Amino acid sequence: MPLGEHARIFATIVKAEASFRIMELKRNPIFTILSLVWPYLMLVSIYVLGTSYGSIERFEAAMKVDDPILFLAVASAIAFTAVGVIDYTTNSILWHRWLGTLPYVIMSTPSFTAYMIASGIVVTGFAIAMNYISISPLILVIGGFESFYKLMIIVGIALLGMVPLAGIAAVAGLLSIIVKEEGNVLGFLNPLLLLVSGVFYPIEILPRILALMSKLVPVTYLVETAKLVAAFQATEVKIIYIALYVFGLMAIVYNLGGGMVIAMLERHAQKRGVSM
Amino acid sequence: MINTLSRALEQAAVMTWAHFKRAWRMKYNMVNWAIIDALWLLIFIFAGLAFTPPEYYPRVVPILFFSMVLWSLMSTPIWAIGNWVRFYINIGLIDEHELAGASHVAFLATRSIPSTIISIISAIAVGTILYLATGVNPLRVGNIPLLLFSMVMVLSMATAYALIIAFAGMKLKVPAPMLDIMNIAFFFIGGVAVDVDNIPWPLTIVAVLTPYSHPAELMRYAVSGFPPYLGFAGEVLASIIFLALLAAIVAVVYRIAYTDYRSLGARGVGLT
Repeated sequence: MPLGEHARIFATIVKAEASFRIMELKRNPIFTILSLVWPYLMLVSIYVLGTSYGSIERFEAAMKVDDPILFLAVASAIAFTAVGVIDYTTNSILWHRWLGTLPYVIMSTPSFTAYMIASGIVVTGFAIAMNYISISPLILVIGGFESFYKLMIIVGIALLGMVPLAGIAAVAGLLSIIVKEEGNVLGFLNPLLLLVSGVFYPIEILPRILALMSKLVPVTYLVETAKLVAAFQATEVKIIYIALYVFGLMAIVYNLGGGMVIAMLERHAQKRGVSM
Repeated sequence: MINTLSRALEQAAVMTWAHFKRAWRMKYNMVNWAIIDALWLLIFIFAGLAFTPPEYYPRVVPILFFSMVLWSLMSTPIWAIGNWVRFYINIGLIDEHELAGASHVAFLATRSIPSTIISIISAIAVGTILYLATGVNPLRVGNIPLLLFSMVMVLSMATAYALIIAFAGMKLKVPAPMLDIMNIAFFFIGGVAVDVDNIPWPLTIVAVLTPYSHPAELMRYAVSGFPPYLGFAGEVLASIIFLALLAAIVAVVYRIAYTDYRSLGARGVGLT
């Protein structure tokens, strides 16, 4: 098949996946509203829990941020974006199996790998858009246009930071099919990434082994970059560039590695079948 | 009367056995679930500790730990029942139970029993990691029987709540975990994560009216001797009354969802 034809099929899948996601939101307004409320709920939850056992000043000092509330809002959006990217991807595969449409998707002309990559791109954009649209009003009200401008920079960085996660999510989804479980067998990946990335607390509070694991997780660098962008000092721009290079490197390692694993799992699934 | 009770108990025993058998078949899924539970609990515990000066850890860590165990008992049924109802409908189990004349409520409710294994495994993991991170033993408890009573009450209330949102989800066409929003609100401003005495007015009213706050007050009394807001007898009585109230709401919401199911069919109730 010529390269142009591959590109056309890929673009069609991206368009179809995007239409599906938008229709889902339109069809179910309660679901949409609740999705937009979740980051606020996380923010309030952490704030209430933390201040009832300690103080916001202690949190400010521990996290080394100027405005802990704005930071908590951005951190909640980062957390839910990571959760969204992995959950949407893995659940969509399981959903196909529950409905009985998975064998058709697996056996259709574009490879499942192409389907997963196209779906991952849409899901990543979608998760970022939902969470940052959700917190934008709060950022505007509390921090004004300057904070909103910084938020847009963080959104751009988040787009890059989430790319490696899409590869991890696709592998997790396909693996669930291979082991024939009803749920996502690598579902622990999501909270593990959040736990070791220190979204809501300094990494130093974790036991040593978890602190070491944090170095391998893209969300860790995203959180650190968000802190630096919030401070926005010229001396720190260089460090932001370093974080961007780390994302690029992780995207290559995780997505190329993930791509190879997906192709292998796809062949396995086609041989063995994908029904329960 | 005795025959009806005997049949109900027999059904519950058979259903519980079936859930345990299935849990064993889905053991990787279950272990995965316990790990997920433990990791989420740790995220909140470490977030709480980020606000706390280390010198307060010996006082804060045990209460924070058991608050999170209560959260696990509150939230596991939401997934085990509330989310699983989609699977129950999608693969046609609902129709099979209907044809066999078995109780949908009993079948879904008995899923809570094996799901406690998840909370137990995750509590052990969280306790160990918390000890490694802080050096404080989170299992220092003053009154173990009272602690167990508070946990059984929370699990029973959570089962009733999960049934309510499972059936409400069928009617509203919203997956149950999305309706879990109330559960999180209950946890943070409803006197579970934070003791009722420390909640600012007028949220104290919300906390007192939140069913979970009463066994949570008993939990804090059992762990640290902290006097309960309504007194010991008052909290025990309030726990029993709220449990009965939740059971009554289950009956009403189930009737509404069941009427929809009978008139629209399994695929028409909106979760597919």
